[in-house]
This record gives sequence, structure tokens and C-alpha cells, in this order.
Amino acid sequence: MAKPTIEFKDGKKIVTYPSGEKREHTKANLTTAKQMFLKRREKIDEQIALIDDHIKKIG
Amino acid sequence: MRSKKEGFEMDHIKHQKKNRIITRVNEITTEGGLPKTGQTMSYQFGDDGTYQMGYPLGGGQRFIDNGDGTITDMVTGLMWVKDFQIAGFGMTMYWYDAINACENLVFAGHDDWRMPNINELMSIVDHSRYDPAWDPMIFGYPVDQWTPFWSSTICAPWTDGAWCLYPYDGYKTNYGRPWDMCYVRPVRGGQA
Repeated sequence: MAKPTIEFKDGKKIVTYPSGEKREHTKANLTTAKQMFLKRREKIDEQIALIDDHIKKIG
Repeated sequence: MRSKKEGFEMDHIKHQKKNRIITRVNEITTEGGLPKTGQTMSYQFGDDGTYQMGYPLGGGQRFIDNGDGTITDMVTGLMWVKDFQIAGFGMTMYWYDAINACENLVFAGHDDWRMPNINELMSIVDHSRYDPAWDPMIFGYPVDQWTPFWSSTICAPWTDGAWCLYPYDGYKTNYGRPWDMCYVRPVRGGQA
């Protein structure tokens, strides 16, 4: 099965896809993507805490 | 290495698949359909970029700038507020306030604006883009990429929440209607 290949060079993550397309990711790109997931996790944790509180109040 | 015979069989399968797709298109006739996702890059054969299914067919223009602060989507028939900040929606609001603000909006000569449902909101997402996940020349830039846009659709398993969408990448999630604040982009028209 064809899979993308990943290499790290020149301060970048370079992904080559089976179609031959290449995508480069800088440290800034990846940090922003990480931030995106952290923000989502933060909100999900908040919603879970609220539901836990409601479950506790139901008894 | 693949033999010539195997290669022939593979081509035959591909040929059959192509015929099946063509048959399907001929069998189903519709006045509308799902919009394209916007992905044009193919990372592997069979992915979204390979087929680019959806409307508009060909390279037709989808969004029309009406020149009065509104945009018409030629695929869905919806009219959107182009710059939600100019229409007075530049701040986050609780879901209930956002609904009322949309219902009370009079803009560009129309007074039938409403909050979009989640399918409508997702329909303007261009999956080839991020930050924001729509064409900023058409829909402008969000004030804050980390705060979602409300939809009028309630989350069925958790009715405290409504579905909403992050402008950063079009991620669909739900926020609490009574306590969370999000942006809203009013819409009008569409199919009833």
C-alpha cells in the first residue's frame, strides 16, 4: 500500500504523497496546528466538567 | 514488479468503475446537490481531489457578490451577509441573543435574515483553505479564528449545546447555548 513519506530537513517537515505531491510544514505551521487541537481539547474538557457537575447534582 | 497481465486486469477494473460512475450520474437527475468541498489537490488516487464531486459542475462561478454587502451562493440559493462586522455582528453573542439579532436584522433591503443551520454553515467551507476555511475575498476574515460561528441546529444528544463551526478550518463542534458566546453570520433564502 502506498503511504506518504516523511522527512525532516532544512528546518521543515516535508511530506511526499503517493500522487507525488509534496507538502512542507514549518515549525510555525505545526505549532498553529497544535494550538488548534489544544483549544479544542480545552473546550471539550470544559463541557465534560459541566456535564459531570450536572450528573453529580442529579445524584 | 507487476506483470503485463496483472496490469491489464487493473486497467479493466478501473474501466468498470468508470462505467459505474457514469451510469450513476445518468440515473440520478437533480436540480441541485451537494457543493464541492473545494479540495482540488489529489494526494492519492480516489481521494476528494481526484473526483472533485459536487456543484458547481465545470468551473462555474459559485458565489456572486451583489455589491450591497451580500453574497449569493448559486449552488444552495442562499444569500449571506458578506461582512458580518459591517452588519453589526462583530462581537460574540450567546446563542439566544444571536438568534434574536438575526431575526431582527434589516440589512441590504431584506428583513428575513435568520441564523443558518449547521448544513448551511458548513456549505460555505472551502476545504482547500484554512485560517479562514472560506474564501476571505468573498466572506472576509473572522475577528478571532478560535471562536466558532453559531448554527441554529441543536446537538441531539446534548440539547444544552448547538452545533457550531470553527472558522480556522471548518471543524464542526458544539458549544453550550446558555453559557458560551460565539459569532454569527446571518443568512436568508434557501429551500423550505
